Amino acid sequence: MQIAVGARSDTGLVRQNNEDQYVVDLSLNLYVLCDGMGGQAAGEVASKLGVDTILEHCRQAVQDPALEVSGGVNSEFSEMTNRLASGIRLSNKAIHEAADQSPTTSGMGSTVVAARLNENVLSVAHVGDSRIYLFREGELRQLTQDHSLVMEQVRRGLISPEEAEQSELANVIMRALGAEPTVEVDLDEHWLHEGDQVLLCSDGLTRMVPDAEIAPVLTEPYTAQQACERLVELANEHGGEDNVTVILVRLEADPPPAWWKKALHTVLGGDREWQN
Amino acid sequence: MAKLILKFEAAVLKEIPLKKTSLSIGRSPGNDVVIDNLAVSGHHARLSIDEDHYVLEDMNSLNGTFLNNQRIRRSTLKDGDEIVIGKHSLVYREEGGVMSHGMVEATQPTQQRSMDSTMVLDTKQRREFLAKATSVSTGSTGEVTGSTGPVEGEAPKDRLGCLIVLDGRTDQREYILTSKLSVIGKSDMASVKLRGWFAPRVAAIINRREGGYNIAPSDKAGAAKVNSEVLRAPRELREGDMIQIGRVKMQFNFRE
Repeated sequence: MQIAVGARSDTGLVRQNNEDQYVVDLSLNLYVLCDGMGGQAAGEVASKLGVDTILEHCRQAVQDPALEVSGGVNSEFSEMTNRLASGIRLSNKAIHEAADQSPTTSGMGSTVVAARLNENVLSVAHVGDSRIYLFREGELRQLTQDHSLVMEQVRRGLISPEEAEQSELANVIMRALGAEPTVEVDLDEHWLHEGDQVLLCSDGLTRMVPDAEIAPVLTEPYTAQQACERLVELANEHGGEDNVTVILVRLEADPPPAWWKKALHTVLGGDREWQN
Repeated sequence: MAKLILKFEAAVLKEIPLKKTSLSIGRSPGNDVVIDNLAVSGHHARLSIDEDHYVLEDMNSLNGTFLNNQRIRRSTLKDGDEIVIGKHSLVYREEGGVMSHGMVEATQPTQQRSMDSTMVLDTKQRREFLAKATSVSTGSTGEVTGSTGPVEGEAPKDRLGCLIVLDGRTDQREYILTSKLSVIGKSDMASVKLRGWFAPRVAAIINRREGGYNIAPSDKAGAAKVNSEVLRAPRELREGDMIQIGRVKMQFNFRE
C-alpha cells in the first residue's frame, strides 16, 4: 500500500489574510490543519503556533519515545494517538501562554484537526469545527463531531441539521486551542483499507460546499493534489467567504510487483493456507 | 452607520450593520436577523426607518419585545438602547448616524449567512450558554424548568467485551477489549497476537463503538470466520459469537 497526499490553502475571496495553517510530514505520516481566530494577525500567530508545536512534539517523540505524554496516557488508544493528543495539549498551552503576553494576541485561538497513519491505523484528533472525513466506497463519512454550539444543539435534538446550517450562531465554537489553560481533545482510531481517502478541511470548505458536492470530486480521476485544488476552487465558486484549506490523504494499491518478486513469493509459499 | 450588536448573556455574537430601511427579527430563516431560540417567535419584531431614526415594533410576539426592561409595542430607538428578545439582547448603536432614506441601499432582504469570524466561549460562558440555549427544549419559554444535565451523563455505561481463546496458538488465553481498535493477527500492531509461520498479518479488526463492538475483515477478506461464516463485511459482535481464524477459535462475551 502506498500513500498519496495533496494539500492546498487559500485566502478565499473575502478575507484579507489567511489564518489557516497546515503541515504535512510524510516521514511521520502526520497531517495537521489549524484554523486560527483573533483580531489583526493574531489568528495567524495562533494557527502557526498550533501546527508547529504539534509537529515538533511528534518529531521529538521519534527521537525519544519516552518523551512525556502531556495530559497522561489514555489506555483506550494506541501510543500514536496518545502522542497526537499530547502534541495538541502542548499547542493549546503554547497558544494560551502566548496570548497572555501581548494585548494584540489576547484572546487568540485556533481549531485543530490532526491525523496520523501507522500502517492501516488512522489516529484522529480534533478540537473545534474543522473536520476530518473518510471517503470509502463512494461514501463520505464525517469522522469528527464539530465542537460548535449549533452541532451541540443538533445532538440534543433541539434543532435540525438544516437549521444548524442556517443558524446565526454557526460561528460559535465550544472549544478551541488557546481559549483556556487546558483543553479536552477528541480522539478516535480507524482501520483504513486500500482505496480509502482521508480529507482534512477547515470550515471555509464545509460552510461553502455541501458534502454532496465534495464527494464527487473524490471520485474523479484527479491526483490527490488536483482534487485539493478543485475543492478550493469549489469553495471560491460558492462565495469563498472564508479561508479554505484541505489536505487529502489517499491509500493507493502498490504497483504490481516485478515478475521475479512474484516468482520468489510463490516459491516461498506466501499464499499458502495457514495451518497451526 | 447605525448597527445592532447581538448578544447572548455577556457574549457578543454578531454585529449587524443597519443598511436597510427595514429589518425583521425572528426565529424563522426568512428574517434579516435570525435568533435561533424557541423563546423567539417566528416573526418577532421589526425595525424600520422613520425619517431619520429607527423605530422598533413588536410583531405580536408571544413573549414580547423589551426595550430597556420595558415591554413595548412600538418605540423610537436611541443610541445605547437595549432590546431584549427571549434570552438574547440587541444593543442599538448609532455610530456615524442613521442613513437617510436616500442613502439606504435598496437591497432586497437577501438572507445573509453569517461568515463572521469564529468566536469561542470560555468554560463559564459555555456552561451558561448551553444551559440557556437548550433549556427551552422543555417547551417552556420562561424560566428553566427541565434538567439540563450533561449529555455525557446520559450515555449508558459502556460494557466491556472480551475474547476467550478456546483453541489454537495465541499469546494470551483471554483478551479484554478496552481499546478502540483491536487488531487480530501476526502484525506488530496486533493486540490479539496469532502465532505460527503462516498466520495472517492482519486477519480482522474489532472496533469498540458506543457500548458495542464491530468486527471487520482486513484487506484480504476471508481470513476470519464468525459463527462459521466467512467475514466479508463489518458486522456487530454479539454475546457468544465464535470467531475463527485458521485453527484459532475465540468466543466473544460481554463482561459485567
